[in-house]
Amino acid sequence: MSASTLNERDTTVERGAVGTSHARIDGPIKLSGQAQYVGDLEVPGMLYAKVFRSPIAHGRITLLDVTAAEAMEGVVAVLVGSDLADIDPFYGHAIRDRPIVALDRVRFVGEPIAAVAAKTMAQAEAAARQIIVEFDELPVAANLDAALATGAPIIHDGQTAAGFAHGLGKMPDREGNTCYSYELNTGDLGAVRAAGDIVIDHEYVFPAVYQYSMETHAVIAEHTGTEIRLWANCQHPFLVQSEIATLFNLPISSVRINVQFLGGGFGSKSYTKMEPLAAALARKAKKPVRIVNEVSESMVTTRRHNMKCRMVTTARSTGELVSRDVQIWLDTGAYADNGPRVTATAGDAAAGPYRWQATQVRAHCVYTNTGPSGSYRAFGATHVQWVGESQIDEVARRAGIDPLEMRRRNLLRRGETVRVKGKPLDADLIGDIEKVAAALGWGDERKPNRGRGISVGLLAAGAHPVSMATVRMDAAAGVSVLVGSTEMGQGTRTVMAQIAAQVLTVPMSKISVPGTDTSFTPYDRSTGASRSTTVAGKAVERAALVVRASLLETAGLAFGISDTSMLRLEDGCVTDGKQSMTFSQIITKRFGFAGGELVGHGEVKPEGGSGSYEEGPVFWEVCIAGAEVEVDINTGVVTIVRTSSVADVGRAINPAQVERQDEGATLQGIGNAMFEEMLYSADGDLLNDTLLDYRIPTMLDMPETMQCIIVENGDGPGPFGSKGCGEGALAAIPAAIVNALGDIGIDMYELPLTPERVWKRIQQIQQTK
Amino acid sequence: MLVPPFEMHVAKSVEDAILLRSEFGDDASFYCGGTELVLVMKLGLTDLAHLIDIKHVDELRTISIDDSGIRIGAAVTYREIENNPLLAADRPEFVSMISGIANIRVRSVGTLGGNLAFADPSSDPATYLLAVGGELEIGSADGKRRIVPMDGFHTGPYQPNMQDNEMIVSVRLPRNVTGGVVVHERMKLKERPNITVAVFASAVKGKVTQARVAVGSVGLVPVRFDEVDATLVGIEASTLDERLLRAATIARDSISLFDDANGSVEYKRHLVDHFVQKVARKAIEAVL
Ligand SMILES: Cc1cc2nc3c(=O)[nH]c(=O)nc-3n(C[C@H](O)[C@H](O)[C@H](O)COP(=O)(O)OP(=O)(O)OC[C@H]3O[C@@H](n4cnc5c(N)ncnc54)[C@H](O)[C@@H]3O)c2cc1C
Repeated sequence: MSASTLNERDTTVERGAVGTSHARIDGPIKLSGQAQYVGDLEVPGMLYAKVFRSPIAHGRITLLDVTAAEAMEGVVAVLVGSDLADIDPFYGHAIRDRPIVALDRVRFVGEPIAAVAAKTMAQAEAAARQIIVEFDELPVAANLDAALATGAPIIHDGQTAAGFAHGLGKMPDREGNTCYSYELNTGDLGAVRAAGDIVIDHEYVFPAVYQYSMETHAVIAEHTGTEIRLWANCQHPFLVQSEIATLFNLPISSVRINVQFLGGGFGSKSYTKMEPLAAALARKAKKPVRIVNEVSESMVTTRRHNMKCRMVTTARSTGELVSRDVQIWLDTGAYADNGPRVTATAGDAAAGPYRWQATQVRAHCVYTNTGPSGSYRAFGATHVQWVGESQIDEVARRAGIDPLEMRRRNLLRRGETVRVKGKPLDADLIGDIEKVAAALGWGDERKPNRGRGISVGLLAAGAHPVSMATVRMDAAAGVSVLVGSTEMGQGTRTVMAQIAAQVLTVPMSKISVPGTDTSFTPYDRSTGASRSTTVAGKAVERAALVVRASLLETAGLAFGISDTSMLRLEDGCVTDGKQSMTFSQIITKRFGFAGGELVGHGEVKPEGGSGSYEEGPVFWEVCIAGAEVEVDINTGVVTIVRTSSVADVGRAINPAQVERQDEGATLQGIGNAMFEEMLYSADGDLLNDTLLDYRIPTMLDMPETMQCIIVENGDGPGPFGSKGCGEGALAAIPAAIVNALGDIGIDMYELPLTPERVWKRIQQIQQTK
Repeated sequence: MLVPPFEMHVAKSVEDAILLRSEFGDDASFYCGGTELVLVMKLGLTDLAHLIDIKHVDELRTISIDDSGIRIGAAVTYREIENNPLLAADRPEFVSMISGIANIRVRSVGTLGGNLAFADPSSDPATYLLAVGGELEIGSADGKRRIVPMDGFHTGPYQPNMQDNEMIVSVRLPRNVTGGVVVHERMKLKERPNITVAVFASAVKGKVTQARVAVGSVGLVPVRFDEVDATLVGIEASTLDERLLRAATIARDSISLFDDANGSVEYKRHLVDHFVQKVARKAIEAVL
């Protein structure tokens, strides 16, 4: 979006309200270093914790001796599995498969076996080095092939215990190492498949990648026996709250979680991570304890699933798509974490938003002896969009049709069925892809060794639509917005303030949006799935409307007008056009003195139906992007010259923030497509757990041009017709890059596109020519 | 991990530093920019009770250029090299090689001495110095100084050819001569280069008279091969393509490589071939 359109927008709406690129309200304290993150906090009496982690990937613990560690200077407590005998120590919102610390068995390198709490960090580290552990080693399945092989070591035995928030209907039992499978079929594949003259059939590999937020997982826990307090950098405080309450047999209200700022999340801090361990250690130490992961520890706390996929697309020689058959295997590591949901979302995204005569999708979530995998921005969609979209391009090339035209002919239109039962398509995909292609200069001549690619997909967004918010207006007409969305750099506090400002005509400077404290902040399901603006924002809008109604009611009484529709809010006043009262005057009038406050509560809940994923999603997030790349055929080095993406957001509450979301997602997509890859040895050791060997994108990897096109069709379910953004470009960029290489004649079936991989593929292609 | 506690000793002179190092033995290490050392300590790979800070020794901090050549003190930072106008005038390719190392944070404190003493297999300066015919001034416990060539100074990864209680005092390189050039190129995919090639060439009347090709960051140590250089000497415009190809083939077949996270032997061999041809071509075309 260009500067000129931004300015036009500024003149049409009130400053600070919806549609303006208001500066971050939390910008100044962050830039001046005053914003406090968990690692900055100190609670009186707090101890420092060091986690003692498994050096092997699979084995039974035959000896665990912490006596020497306990005797070390400064050590207050050492937590081991046997300390948890009085509680059911298993957690996991999808599958309750994970003990707080290893009980008798370890399943991945880095699994917590014990934790030391000491007066200083140095003491905790020194004591942890004194812990003695011995194992009976078990065979290791450190990758999908090993875990799926016949006779593979079985990583979990016993019955599958469903977690409390998987949202997947009945959770089936494990089969071998497969902990969950998802199927989605339409039409009769067997009957139509033969109609396809063109058959594209390949296997694909997507790497394990780490979310790499700047801040690692950090938590301070205090356990008084009747109450647990946590200061945590979690994305989903309310889900963590209820999981901790269950683990420690406390009422939900006795678990109090405080979340201020997160130094990034990208899904790595969704659901429960280090909180149970911190709470259990605090319980034993009877003092608050703080755990702050090192990067290498966070890399084994969560990551993105690596994937294997086999896909077969058939089409007529005219380019008309016929069928798609997909099998997906996602490596969820040693514990399920959010793997089942990632699997279902990948399954939903696999067919792509096209008209098919038949599709068959079978997606499997598989345990291996590696660090657990969970949510990562645009999960599922990022995994499969590049696979499906590269097959669409292959069909187009075989049929001699331009890839853009191919999509024009086959893409779903607004209102058509995306997924049996679920919400029909709520966006104009063809309009969007045309914009992205135009921004790339689609028809222009290509320079040598340069190619262009586009990609389209949909991501089921919104998660379970339950959010609450409270808006309070004080006697001086200041407003505080209590909403459980976690500020993790995406700018949610600013957006929430803008929504309240718009409804109440209050300047942004009079609005505050504090962090979450579960004791005061009303429930919000989670921050993720591009849902905050749409779902929590709607709750804020509704809460603000309640405050507005109170203002109108009291002003109406004062004016002697009973029909409040004759009244309106204007610049902090209520007016009927002739007479006017400021909000402060109204509140003083209402309470008889300059005090009291107006409180509004807003609620979003499933509207029609249960809100299940099956009936959803809240909205289909559009994943559309394009890329132009240049390849150095001598080295295989690929340079991203330009990208474009569409943020189909219904209404941009804050256009600059929308653009920043797309830019961040683009860069992260470049990382996933081009460099990032966690490497494991056959023994399950993570080989590249520092930035020296794990390559993330930097400023220098930015494309020369990165264009984000904001599309505002007013068709979202959120406040002012908005819908979420921030994930779409991440799913779409790897696909666009792969297709741009395909455009040069280099079809790639494995990510990331390291120079060596690309170079080898070039050699292969040249040899077969 | 936290860096375990240690004692810091600020050396006043080269002799003082060497004395301290001899006194504390294996419990101590020289500490310059710390960009390698602190990483190693954080990773828990070494446990040192004493660090000997050599950053404040005047002799290690100076750059001089005169008729005998260029002398750069071991503790001069990359940043200082980048910002030195005399160096930029005399050896622009050296300065630009330096300014492509790592990032500005590392360059602000990292030093040439630290790089060469650490002997990481991925070293741009070591490869460059090999091609240009650079030398090192080493200070010893007996108070003597000796000058050793870069060629042979790295005997293996992390193995500089000097005693533990010896130190690099300065780095010497010849001044730019008319009719000669050095071209340096690297390919960097992660933090450190995956391959560095530097080529020195000079020519008289359309014929290459001297050539030195150095290949680094891809094997265990930076290397050069007499046969490669000999293949380039005598090149004229008409024989350029064919001889470059031959030289590159010799280099790719002679170098010892291994598979690792930076690539397979197959790919690395190809990179050696490609970059030797490319960099040598640039150097030779510039002098022919
Ligand atoms: C992120 C990153 C990226 C990098 N990228 C590159 C790159 O692209 N190209 C490249 O070539 N290099 C690269 N490097 C390596 C960099 O050049 C070195 O880290 C730096 O030069 C070391 O200098 P220092 O003064 O910090 O050494 P220190 O860390 O202080 O010392 C390193 C070692 O040398 C010893 N030592 C130091 N000075 C002397 C001396 N005068 N005599 C004897 N022993 C001594 C120390 O005892 C220690 O063992 C990179 C490093 C990092 C951290």
